[in-house]
Amino acid sequence: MDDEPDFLRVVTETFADLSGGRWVMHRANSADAALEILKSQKIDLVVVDINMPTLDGVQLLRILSRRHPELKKVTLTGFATEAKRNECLANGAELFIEKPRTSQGFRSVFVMLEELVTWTPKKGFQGMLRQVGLSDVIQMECLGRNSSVLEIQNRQLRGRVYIEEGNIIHATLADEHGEKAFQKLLALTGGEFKLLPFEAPEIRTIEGSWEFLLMEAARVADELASQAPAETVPAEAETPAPSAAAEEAAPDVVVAETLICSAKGEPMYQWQCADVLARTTMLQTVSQQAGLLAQSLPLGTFERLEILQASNRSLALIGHDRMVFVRVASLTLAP
Amino acid sequence: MNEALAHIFSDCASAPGAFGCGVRLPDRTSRVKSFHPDCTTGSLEKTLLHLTSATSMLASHDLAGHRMAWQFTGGKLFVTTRADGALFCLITRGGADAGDFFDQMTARFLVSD
Repeated sequence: MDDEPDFLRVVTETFADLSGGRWVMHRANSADAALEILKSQKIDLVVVDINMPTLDGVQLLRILSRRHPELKKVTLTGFATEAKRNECLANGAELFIEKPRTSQGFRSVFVMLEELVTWTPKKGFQGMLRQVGLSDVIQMECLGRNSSVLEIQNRQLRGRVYIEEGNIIHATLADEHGEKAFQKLLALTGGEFKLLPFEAPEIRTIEGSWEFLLMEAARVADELASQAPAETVPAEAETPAPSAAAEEAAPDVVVAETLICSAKGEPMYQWQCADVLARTTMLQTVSQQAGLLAQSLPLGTFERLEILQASNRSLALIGHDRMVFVRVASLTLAP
Repeated sequence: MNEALAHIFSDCASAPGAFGCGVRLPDRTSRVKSFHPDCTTGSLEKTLLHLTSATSMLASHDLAGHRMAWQFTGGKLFVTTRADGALFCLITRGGADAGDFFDQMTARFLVSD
């Protein structure tokens, strides 16, 4: 949806080419027209220009989130600001993208949109950290060597994972604790979770590397999933709609970008990384610069670079066999 | 070195694990101060050079931060840059966390021009 007919034409023609005819696109030059299309067509994804006359993109996002909660929503703008981005994400947009101006830019946007369309939500966890799975959050906390308590709940159960300076030290789920509780929590197919400030548990029941714990939990979750018929645990049915109180308590940070690549810069995993090549190049340069710094000063081996910005915290980790980049964004405006 | 900067350098000596500090100015000159015999003036100047290069590279990737921390197994380099391009670095050794201390120094450095 865009009120600039030329841009609409270019973008639909370009995406039609790039999708090889797989995408069926509908154009709307106003919010009313977009809503009319949604009444009569099954739509997977809506791309909205936020600067529209009468009913602007953010207002439309609110309406779409209310009337079509399952719809994936992306906002495009020619004038991106952090405030606008936060407003759009807070009102239900999955992505906030600057309008492309070059053919490479159109291609990048197309890749992001296709990724979003084909992306399948991790079963059931929603509301608190949209599109980010439990294991992603735990991984982010451990990579950042943070201390926090991750509280997880669904209709029947409530549990906690305690992370201290990047180490998983304790987990509880009802009467259980330790690795068993951790694995069961990671195997839950629906619910809500939120990050709380760290408080020391009365006991510590977990030792060992978080990578191993997450891998083991993933293995157990796969086993449980293969044993239980899918219909017995319908994620949506089990997942309560986020309550007003829960919305108020929602954390104000989200994982905005993740990239894992080999030491040679070959991408192994990426999530919402707009320019993988640029990020891998950046990681390789960080690695080189860290090597030079290590030669200059007797400080040992480089571990990671942490970058604090007004609304982002980024981590670049350089290991001997892989490099990791994680960016966490704040949903609240920086002072 | 102006007075404000001299005071910052002097106060950096009390940072947890203080090892050295330095500033690289927009005219490409640098001022450094060592707090430990293992931290030489030459190594501090080289460090500032590498940090300037790295910070510039990160800025080109929209990753210029108000605080950057390069963590090594045996210490940490805290870095910030001023609007005029001046770069300030505090180096600490050991496991002491000087993050809050560095933020206080940064607040003074940003208005020290």
